[in-house]
Amino acid sequence: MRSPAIKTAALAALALALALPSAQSAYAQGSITFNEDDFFGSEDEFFVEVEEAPEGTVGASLLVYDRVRVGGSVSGSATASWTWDDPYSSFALDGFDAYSLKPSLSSTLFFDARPSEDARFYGSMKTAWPFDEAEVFELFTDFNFDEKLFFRFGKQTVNWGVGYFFSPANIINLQAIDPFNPGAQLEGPVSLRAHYPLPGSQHNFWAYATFDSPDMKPEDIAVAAKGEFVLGAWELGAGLWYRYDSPLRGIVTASGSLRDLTIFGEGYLARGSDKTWVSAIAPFPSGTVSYETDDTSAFFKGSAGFLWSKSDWNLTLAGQYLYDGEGYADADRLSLIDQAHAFIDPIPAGDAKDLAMNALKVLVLGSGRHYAAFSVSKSELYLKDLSASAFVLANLSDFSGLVRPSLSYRLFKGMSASVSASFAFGSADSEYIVLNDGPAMSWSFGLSMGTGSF
Amino acid sequence: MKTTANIAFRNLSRQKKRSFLLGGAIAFGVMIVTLINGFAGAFSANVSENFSHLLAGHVFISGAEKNGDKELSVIRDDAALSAAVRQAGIAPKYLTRRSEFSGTLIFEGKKIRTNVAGVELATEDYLRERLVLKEGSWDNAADPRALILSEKIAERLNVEVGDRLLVQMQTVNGQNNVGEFRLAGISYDAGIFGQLLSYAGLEYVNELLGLKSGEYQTMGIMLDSLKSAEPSADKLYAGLSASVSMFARGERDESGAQTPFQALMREQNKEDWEGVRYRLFTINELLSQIEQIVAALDTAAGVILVVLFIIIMVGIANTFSMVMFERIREIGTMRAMGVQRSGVRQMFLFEALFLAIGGAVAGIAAALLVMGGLSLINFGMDSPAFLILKNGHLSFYLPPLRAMGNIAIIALLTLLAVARPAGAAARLEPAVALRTQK
Amino acid sequence: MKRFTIIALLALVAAGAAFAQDVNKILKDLDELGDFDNQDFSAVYTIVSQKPGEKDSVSSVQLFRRDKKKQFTMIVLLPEVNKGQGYLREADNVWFYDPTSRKFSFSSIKENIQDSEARNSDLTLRGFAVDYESSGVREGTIGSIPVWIIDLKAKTNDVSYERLVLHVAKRQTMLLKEEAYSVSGRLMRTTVYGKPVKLGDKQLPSQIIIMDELNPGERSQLTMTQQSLSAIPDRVFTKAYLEQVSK
Repeated sequence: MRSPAIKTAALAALALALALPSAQSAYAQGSITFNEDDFFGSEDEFFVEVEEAPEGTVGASLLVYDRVRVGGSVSGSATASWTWDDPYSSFALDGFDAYSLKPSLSSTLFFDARPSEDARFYGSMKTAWPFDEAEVFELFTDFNFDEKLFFRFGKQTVNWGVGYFFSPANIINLQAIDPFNPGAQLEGPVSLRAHYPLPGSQHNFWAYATFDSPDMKPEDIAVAAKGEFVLGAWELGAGLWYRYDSPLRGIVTASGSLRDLTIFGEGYLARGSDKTWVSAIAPFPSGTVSYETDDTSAFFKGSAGFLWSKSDWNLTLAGQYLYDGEGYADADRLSLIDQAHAFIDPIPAGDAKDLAMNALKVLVLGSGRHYAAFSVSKSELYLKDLSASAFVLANLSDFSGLVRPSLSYRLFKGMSASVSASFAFGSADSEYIVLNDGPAMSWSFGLSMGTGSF
Repeated sequence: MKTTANIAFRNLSRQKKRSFLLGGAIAFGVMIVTLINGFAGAFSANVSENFSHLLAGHVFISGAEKNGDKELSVIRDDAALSAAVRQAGIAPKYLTRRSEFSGTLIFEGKKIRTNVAGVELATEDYLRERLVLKEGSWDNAADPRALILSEKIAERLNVEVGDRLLVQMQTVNGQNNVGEFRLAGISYDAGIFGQLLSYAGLEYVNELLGLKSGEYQTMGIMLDSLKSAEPSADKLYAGLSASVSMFARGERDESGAQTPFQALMREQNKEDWEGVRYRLFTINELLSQIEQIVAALDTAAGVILVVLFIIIMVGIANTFSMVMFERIREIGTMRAMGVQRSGVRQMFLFEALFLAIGGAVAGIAAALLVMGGLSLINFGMDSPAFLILKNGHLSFYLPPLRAMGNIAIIALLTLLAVARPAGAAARLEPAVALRTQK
Repeated sequence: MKRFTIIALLALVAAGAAFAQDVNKILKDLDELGDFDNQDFSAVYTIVSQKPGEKDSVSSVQLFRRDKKKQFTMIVLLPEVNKGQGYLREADNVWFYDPTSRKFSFSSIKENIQDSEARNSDLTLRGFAVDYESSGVREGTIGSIPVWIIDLKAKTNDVSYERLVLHVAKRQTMLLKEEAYSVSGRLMRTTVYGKPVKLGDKQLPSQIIIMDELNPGERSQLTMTQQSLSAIPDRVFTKAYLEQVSK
């Protein structure tokens, strides 16, 4: 037992395990007791029997459950917020334009069955108050061929990207990353995936067939393939996606480390686009919107960013830039917004106008070509349970954006309070000014209650 | 141009309340920044000066002995060093000889990691003058196992004068060792630097480190003032190089080291050598490590500050966007009367510039007033913050260039924030502007 | 009478010499018992740490090592919050799998020992026989097991502990207890090794309790289960495995 190898193994495990947040004694272990007679046994029954795993079965215990595991998470919160649409021209504390109280209660439930080493069935469902519907978030089964080719069939998350706030390479999932909640799991499509780890290396290959609806034609299947390669201290990926009558898409990814900085980048290139652009808006009273599509031009998207954290300082920084080749050119955007105003402005205030304004919001949302996001967060700020963060999301094409500083304090295990503010900036008719009905300022006070997983 | 400036100025006074609010916001931001700058300006100097007393020196020489892979920190014979100091012509006030370790103090289940300096407690008079004891007395220091801790550490260990406490540390060879101290005194708290201020007898610290009596690790050379640290260090280094083997002095950042001190350490690790060598460093190099601690604490303040400024800029940009809209007919009239596009843009930019400069100057003035007021208060040398004080007073130093720089940055940021609304105003067609209904 | 004394003395000296040889052999045996450099090794490690006035913390991981290829896979079993997180390491490259986002993140670590604090504190132990010499051997029992109590003194000052007292089971050479002393002669740490298991020609304890003698009441207990020297299937050191075993 004095072997350095085992000793370091034990130390490494100890260090890693102790670095994890400590669990409550899951089983009533109580204090560590030590009784010489029990501990050392007797000379005749010196060794404790241990069943050596038969050759080739090591690691199998985690692949098999003797019963179906059920678990999930529940999160609850209540947030009150007040919004002033234009606090810079006239501000009065009681002059807010909107206020709300949002209690929220949501939960995820999952089952995980592993009857044998070579089969696994997993499903999860999500629901949220008022519980009108529960949606299936994931439902898949795992099987493999000779422990070399691994399959997963069903509704599954397919993360192709390496980006933090934006991910142009994320072309298979049904959802895009929400920059305000970049760590959340994304919903994926129903697909069949084959995964081949190249033996003797950490290179991996994946092939996918994705299905859109339960009732479709064979030619509607989308096929995709991706490879990931380790090159020195970098991991590089490249993938292709194809469906008959849809644009052919290719992506590349790279991630690696420069000292303690994690760096990542993505590129996306497609021939044609699924997007429909607004090309003209007729003035009041018709308001007819003309659209156009493009199936032949090449579209490029690219993104690069970094992640840096210093655990001694409890500080994390993340930043990312995105070029979106599917965005409108600046001149086209401005002209379209002018056309929209020519239609909207004469409409008398009322539901019709609100509806038209909402249509304008849809038009400007994500309409630029250059975006950036940056966040800084620090925990244990002056106090152990106090953490602060600031997040900036900006459209660099029209220089508008949102700044969101926030503070949160853990009152006790199970309850934490937070206060956050949000400031929209930009000139009139810029993306975030339109989306927020003006250079809005809002303040939110939230309580998160009993959030946890089981 | 002059007329545009006049109109801009009149526009500001026309909307007194708004101008006041915006200017006030700028002034407030600038005041905070200036206060922090002023505090930081004096901070390093004060800390260095106070530290030079606590560490007993402005210039330090430490010895290293290498045998195979292993390097020990020790000065076994300082005859050559003392001679070099005498001959360098730097007129030291006094020399000190110290050893030091970093270890864990343990008292009844409570633990804290700290540095302990082994000093000649009985003879280091200057330490007695600088380190004011809150409890206990210097008479207790005659005990060979005496230990002096700062208030905060003593409090966290829940230990009182007379208590015996254990220390777990390592010898110069890296072997585990355990010692036992008796608490002789508790000094006034020194904030974040408290952990650097634990003192014990040199003899016992040597014993724990595995050094012999008469040996030590670092020689401190106290000069008449902080200013002479660098020139004296240069002279001394030249003298020492002639008689003993010296490490190259640390240069700033080539190897990617964050501080000159680390650069020094790193370089010395790279070289292949055997025997005994010395390294020479000044209080400034030593404190650049402490500045890192300060930098870590400052990041928190810095983050808040950046957010504050972004919010102010957001406010200015948004206000001017609105101002443009309010004055749309006025701009139309001006344009119709033959004012050029550039004139309109200039008017807006001037308005913003006046606002920024007015606010910034007011902010600096307010900061100076606050600094003046604060520096009148005498906190005394027994205050918890004595390390950052100058003879018991808070002191500030605002480099004039820094103040000018702050004004320039504010002006620039404001112009940047207003650039788009001003551009938009300039682009307005006179006819469209006049037609617009508000 | 005189002759008798001489004979007795001779016998004693002879016994002593024979014994000195034995001690060296025991130390060498101990050193060899747990050398796994050329074999795969896997086990579940459960660590309970106990501090007075605090709740015990429990964590548990499944560990797979293939030192030959610098491969390492670790799956977190406890605490529940982190369950299913996995680490895969090959040489300097590390993949971390987070089951809550179903994402792998990649990073590369170039270990810089120069900068780490561990530089001096973790002197590597090359083996009892190399680093220590016996300064006395007694017989004793621990529990009901007869043991040699071997007092070891460091040959050089390159080892963490100046003095070790080992309790080694007589019949099946096996370290049961180790007391570690500081340079100043104070007992710092007691480690007991119990419930040994035999794996091939190796034997190793399945339970280790480390008692901090300077901080009474502070203990850690490391329990190993499912120990195995069997070859680990290659699939364990792949991303596919991390994905499959996660929750």
